[in-house]
Amino acid sequence: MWLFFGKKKKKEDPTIYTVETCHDCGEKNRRIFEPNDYIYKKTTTTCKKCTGIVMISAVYGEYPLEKQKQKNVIAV
Amino acid sequence: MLSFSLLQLNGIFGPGGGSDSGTNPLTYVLWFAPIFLLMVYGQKFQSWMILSDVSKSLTKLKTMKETARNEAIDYVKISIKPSADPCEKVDKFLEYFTIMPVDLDPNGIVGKLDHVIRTRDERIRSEIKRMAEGMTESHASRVENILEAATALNMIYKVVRHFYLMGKRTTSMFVLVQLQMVMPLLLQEAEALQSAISAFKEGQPIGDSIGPMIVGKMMIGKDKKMIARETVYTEGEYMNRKLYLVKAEGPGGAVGRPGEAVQRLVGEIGLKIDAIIMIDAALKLEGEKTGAVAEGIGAAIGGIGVEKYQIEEVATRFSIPVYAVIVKQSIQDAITIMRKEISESFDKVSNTVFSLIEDKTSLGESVLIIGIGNTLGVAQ
Repeated sequence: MWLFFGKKKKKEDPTIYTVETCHDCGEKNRRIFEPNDYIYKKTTTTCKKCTGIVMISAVYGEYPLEKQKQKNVIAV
Repeated sequence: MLSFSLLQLNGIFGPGGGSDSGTNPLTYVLWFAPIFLLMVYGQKFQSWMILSDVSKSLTKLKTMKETARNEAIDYVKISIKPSADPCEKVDKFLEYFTIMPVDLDPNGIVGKLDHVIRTRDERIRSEIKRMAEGMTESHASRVENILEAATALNMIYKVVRHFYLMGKRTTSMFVLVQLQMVMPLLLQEAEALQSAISAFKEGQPIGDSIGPMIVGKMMIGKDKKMIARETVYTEGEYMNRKLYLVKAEGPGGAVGRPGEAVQRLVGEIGLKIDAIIMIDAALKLEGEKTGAVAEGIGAAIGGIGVEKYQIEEVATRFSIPVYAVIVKQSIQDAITIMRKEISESFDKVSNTVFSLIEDKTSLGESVLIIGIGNTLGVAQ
């Protein structure tokens, strides 16, 4: 049957991460996104390395097949 | 058993299988009937197949449209707790339309366009705010974004349904074939809009937020002033050059009014600007890498064209060169959660902007840097 109808592509949702960066030493820490996270928000946590102020520096989505897809992209 | 039936078939169809196979009238009928049938009804068969194909896609679009509507209603109900049932109001928004001004006017239509768009924005915003008392600007802009996506989905569904029904009624192959050809692109756009709603609900940055993200970092710790509706600006310094930074006010989902901000800063306040640098997300071509950074000349800003006109007009009047730094992405990437590749282009974009400042301006000169795009999930 799959010859006629083709394989159905399974749509996968990205995993959303929040990257926290220490304002003083630049130490980065990645964790799963939580509600009310936004970029350049000062968090209540302190840096594990130097106890400096930690700020959210990035929020992004990572797709499960991203690495495989990257290989197929023609670089220009 | 098998060889027996094959022999029998050979007797009917085969060229030399039977004694009278060449002259058997049944052979002619069986050969020519399908050809004749396809000649007469071929297009009808094709129409049926296309109709069934489009019908499936239309059902998908209908589901997406309904989901978007329900998500918008749920978000309004849960997050802003309106005094009355929001269903009626949301349905009203979904059918809201804007009539563009006549383009025959020789005096120019940009002013009229600006007026129409402002009126629409203000009307929608005031209607949203009337849903619940004391709603924050951030929530209002999120609701506005969600409703915009739901309205776009509703419009796609209605247009496709219109052409589907028209094609079905007239059995016009030309209408149906055109519809079938654009359907994958429309479905792709509809899926992106649906994914955008979840990003809007959660207040997550989207691909288009890369411009405000770059400028937002430069603004941290500086005194911010409002320069236009939902648009902030700050002053800074870099290697003995004065920097004026402009972006939409975050972390709500706003694009601000950068055109108006530039007009005020340069035209009204009278700042002497020696270069304008605009940072924005731009559409990539198929095969190009998501998150690739490129630089060029001109006003890097999308939309209906009013803001672009305003910036170009000021730049031309005061002979200010406009430089553009863009981050390439697809339309789907631009309206859904920011991809890792786009986020990782941050350092490259920042370095490009700083090297542009160093190369194109001299010591003591002033540069206006504008982060263009939706600032959803990006503060400053």
